[in-house]
This record gives sequence, structure tokens and C-alpha cells, in this order.
Amino acid sequence: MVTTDEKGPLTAKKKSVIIRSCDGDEFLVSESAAVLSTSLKKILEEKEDRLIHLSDIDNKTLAMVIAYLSTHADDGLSDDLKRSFDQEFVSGKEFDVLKYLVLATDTLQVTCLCYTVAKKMADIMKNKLVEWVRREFDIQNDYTPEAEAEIRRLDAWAWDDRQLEDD
Amino acid sequence: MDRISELPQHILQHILSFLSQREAIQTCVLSKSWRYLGSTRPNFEFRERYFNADKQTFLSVMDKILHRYHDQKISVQKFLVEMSMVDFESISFLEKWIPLVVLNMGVNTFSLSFPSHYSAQFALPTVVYKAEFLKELNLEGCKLSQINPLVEDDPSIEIDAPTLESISIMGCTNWFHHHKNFPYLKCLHLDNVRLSTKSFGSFSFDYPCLEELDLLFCHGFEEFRLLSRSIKHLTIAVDRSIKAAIDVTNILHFKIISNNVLPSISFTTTSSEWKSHIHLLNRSNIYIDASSWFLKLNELLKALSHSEVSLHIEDHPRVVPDTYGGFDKPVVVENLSLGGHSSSSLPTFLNCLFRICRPRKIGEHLYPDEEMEWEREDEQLAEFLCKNLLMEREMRRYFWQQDLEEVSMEAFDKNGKKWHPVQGTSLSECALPNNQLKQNIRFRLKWRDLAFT
Repeated sequence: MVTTDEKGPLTAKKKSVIIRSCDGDEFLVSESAAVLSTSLKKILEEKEDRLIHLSDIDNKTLAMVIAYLSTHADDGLSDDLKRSFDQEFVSGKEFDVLKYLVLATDTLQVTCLCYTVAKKMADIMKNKLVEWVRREFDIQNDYTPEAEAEIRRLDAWAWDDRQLEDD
Repeated sequence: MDRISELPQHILQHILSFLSQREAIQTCVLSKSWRYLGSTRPNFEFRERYFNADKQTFLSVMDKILHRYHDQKISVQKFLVEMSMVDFESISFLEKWIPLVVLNMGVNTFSLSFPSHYSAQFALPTVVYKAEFLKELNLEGCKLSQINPLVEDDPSIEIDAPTLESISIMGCTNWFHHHKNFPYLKCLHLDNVRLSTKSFGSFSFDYPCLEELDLLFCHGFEEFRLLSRSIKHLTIAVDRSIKAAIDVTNILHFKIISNNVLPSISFTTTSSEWKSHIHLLNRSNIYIDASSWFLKLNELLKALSHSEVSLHIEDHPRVVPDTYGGFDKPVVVENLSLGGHSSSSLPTFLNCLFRICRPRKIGEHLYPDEEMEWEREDEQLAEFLCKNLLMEREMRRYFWQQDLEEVSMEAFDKNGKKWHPVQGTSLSECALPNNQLKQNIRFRLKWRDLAFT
């Protein structure tokens, strides 16, 4: 998606930008891919600088986000192919990898990828008991047993095992 | 910090929005920082059927949670409530909260449904039509309230939600709006809704951007004329005889579902590549007059002959005239699938069917589900086709056999998700390679050109 602003600096199709991660590595990205991130698009509209420094996204995460943006900027790929790419993209990834991805996509405002990653993270938590989630994510239970029991009592309906919920 | 709680609150709530309401609430006990996350996520979704018929709890839980959103000025982007009962308590709950949710809480998706109510009883507060940020409106079993209920001959609804992109209305109610159009509406789904011929009059003005239109078992009109440049996907389902003139310049996919009675349709488009799907049912199993059935099907096929046609016949007329003619040249059908056929009337039925259409493939949807049992009728049909298309074609028992140039059998490979040719001429041979009878098979037919001249 190339901007249609005739007067702006973004008209040339094959322009590239350089994006630097917090580790200092630099990535050359086509502008059509970069502007799929709302934040990058804004930066590029505001200044002519071709070098963008992202101080809170590491190498590994940035490389993944750029792979996603480049695939989605490729006009030669069908929507179906892009969809299956998205599924492949998140499948089998560790929770911590997803966590940095969701943070990066939130910062860069890549709405579609943010949605896909957040959904994948929810899928990991789905149908799991509270104890499993605490253990898996090292969540310290700072409630007293009495306080926890009280919360469970207040929302007793949510703990009623007779309930069936399929969606 | 642990592996998840360091995420900012809005991201955690985004993740929680994909869980069920119950699971989201359960996360409250994880630790103190999770206390209210799940109960203030951006989507509020409650279905009474998950409350074990305990309506009191259902209403009071929703009330408590909505109060938290409201008091802390937290926005509810998606509001979904499914109720089983319309009574005094549920009505007062809805009348209290709907205006607040719609006007003050920034809702963009509003869904309210009474799935068990066939006749709409709850009158939707008109405030919903004034919602400034509403993008999606889904209603089931609700009555769309009128501007002036005293004027019976003007049941119009004044809808002034210009941002709407998607509307879905199910259940007996009226849909005549006036005054405003919907400049951004992309999807309109009307199921069992009362319309009038007038509703279609200013269609392209009312919905200039509409891409998807479903008119399912709607009533209140005998005929209509639909004109739209924007519609790409159109589905019409009918269970009574209607007459429609459809002029959709840019159609991509047209689907007609008809129960018992075939509609009369004329179709105009400049679209060069589009697909049509004809789905014929006989749910109520009533007697169908075969002569007029074939005549109408012939008309319908001709009207859609410029598209790639798929024809699915769930039930055909049981009594079929043995020789039946008077048709023009047969229409090419890309896929034909048949279901629920009695073997005794099958030969005469196909005799008539092949006078009006020539399928390139038969049986593609015959056994679409791997869980589905192969019923006796399916087996009889497959055996009949196998016998008369492959094994004994040269015996020329039926007139259409001489028009066939080439027939091959294909089986669906579930692993490769592809059709592949099967050698052999009998069903037992096609059941290979994994020796399972219950697999998808189809026949690929090549008809002599002669048939179309």
C-alpha cells in the first residue's frame, strides 16, 4: 500500500527505509511494507529521515515483524496465501516470543498482527485451570486463601462446573 | 515480574477478550493485579443458557458488571446479550442498560438475541438507532419499534446510525426504514423479516456500498426488483413462489436456496466471472408437481447460464413423467450433487434432469463430511451412477448415455486435499486405495458438443 499523497515524500514506489532495533542492528525495509504499521507511517509522514530507531524492540522480534509486513505488502500474494502465512506465523511459537511480538505490534500499531498474536496467546490459556495458568506464567498468588475464597464466592457462577460454554 | 503480568493492561484485556466470559472472570483470582481485568475487558458477552436456567443470577451478574464499566467510565466496545425469556425483569434490565451502553459507553458492536422466540416480543429501544459509533448491529427475535406505533400503515423505523457497516436481523419483525441511508453499510443479513416491494425501490441509494446481501425467507412481497452496483455476494432463500428481477453489475457469487417452490428470477450483470449456487430442498416433504418443477428449474438455469453453476438437489419430485420434453438446449452445470433420492424414481428423474442440464461433475458434495455416514440412498445413487455412467454406458439404456464422450471417476484425497483419478469402473474398485467405501467420490463427465447445438 503506497500512499496516494501526491505532494508528500512517499510517492516513489521502490523507496526503502532503515529500521534500527534496540540491539543496534539495522533492517532495510521497503516503504510499502513499513507503512502497514500505523506508527511507522506517521513517522515517515512527519520527517524525511529514512532511519527509524526503535528503542524498545529487539532484533529477533523486529525481524519477525518485518517478515510479516513484507509478506503483507507483497501484491503478488493472494489473500488466502497471506491468511495461511498468518496462521503459520504464530503456530508453535513460545509464549515469551508471542509476548514480545504483541508488545512490538502494539507499539508499531500493526492491528492485524496484534489481533492474531493476542488470539494465539488466548488460545494457550483457553480451557486451562487457574492453577495451570499461575504455574505456567509464574504468577505469584498474593491473595490470602480467605481473600481468594471470597472472590470465588462473589463470582460463584463463573466457577459452577455445571455450566457449559462452548464459545 | 512474572511472564505475563508485565504486559500493559490494555494488551492483557485484548488477550482476555478472546476467552469466554466465564474464563475471563476466572482470571480474577490469579493475583491482585488481575482482580478486575477480566470483568472490565472491552467485550461484554453474556448468554443465559450458560446460567443453568438461573435467571436471577444471570441478570444480577450482568447488572453488577455493567455497573463497574459504567461507574469507572470504561468503554464496552462489544455488547452481546442472549436471553431466553422476555418478562418483566429482563425487560427492565434491558431498558435500563441499553441506553447507557449505546449512548455513554462507546459501543461499536451491539448484539441482542432471543433465540427461542419465534415471534418478536421485546421492542428494541429506539435509542439504538441513534448510536453514534455503532458499526455492527445484530438482532434476533427483537421487535424493531416504530417511530409512531399509532400509525399502522407506516411501520417505518427511523434509523440514524450513519456509521453502521453490518446489520443482521433475524426473526419476525418489520424492516422498513426511512429518511436516512447507510453510506458505509457493507453487510445486510435479513432472516425471516417482513419487507415490502417498496423496500427495494431505492436500494442502491439506501445502501451505496453494500457488498453482501442475504435475504433469507423474508416475506411481505410477491415480487421485487433489486438494482445494485456494489453487491458482490447475494444469497436469497425462499419457501414460497416469488418473482425477482435482479440487476447486480458486479456480482461474484449468487446463491439461491429454495424450499419446495422454485422462484422465477431474471438476472442481469456485466460481471464476467461469477459463480452461482442453486440449492433445492423439500423440507416439508410436500407433493411437488414435476412438470412445473422442471420447467421452473429450466428457466432458473437459463437465467444463470452465464455463471459457473453448482446445482444441489436435496429432494426431487417423486413422481416424474417418463418422457418429458419441450426444453431448449441444456445448460452446462459445473457441479451437480444429489441427496436423499429414492432409487425407484431416480432413472426417470435423471432422464428429465439431463434434458435441461449437462453437469461436468456429479457428486462433488455427495459425501462432504468424513463423519457422515454413507446412507443407503447415497450408496444406491453412487451405484446407479457407477453402473450407468461407467460400466454399462455402451448399453445405452438411457438417451443421455449416447451424448457422453468420456467419463472418469475421482476420489478425494483427504491428506493432499485434492481430487485424484481412480482407475476402474466399479464402486468397490474406487474404494481403494485405503479400502474405505466411505470416501468422497465424484464423476467427471465430458459431453459431446452435439448436445449443445
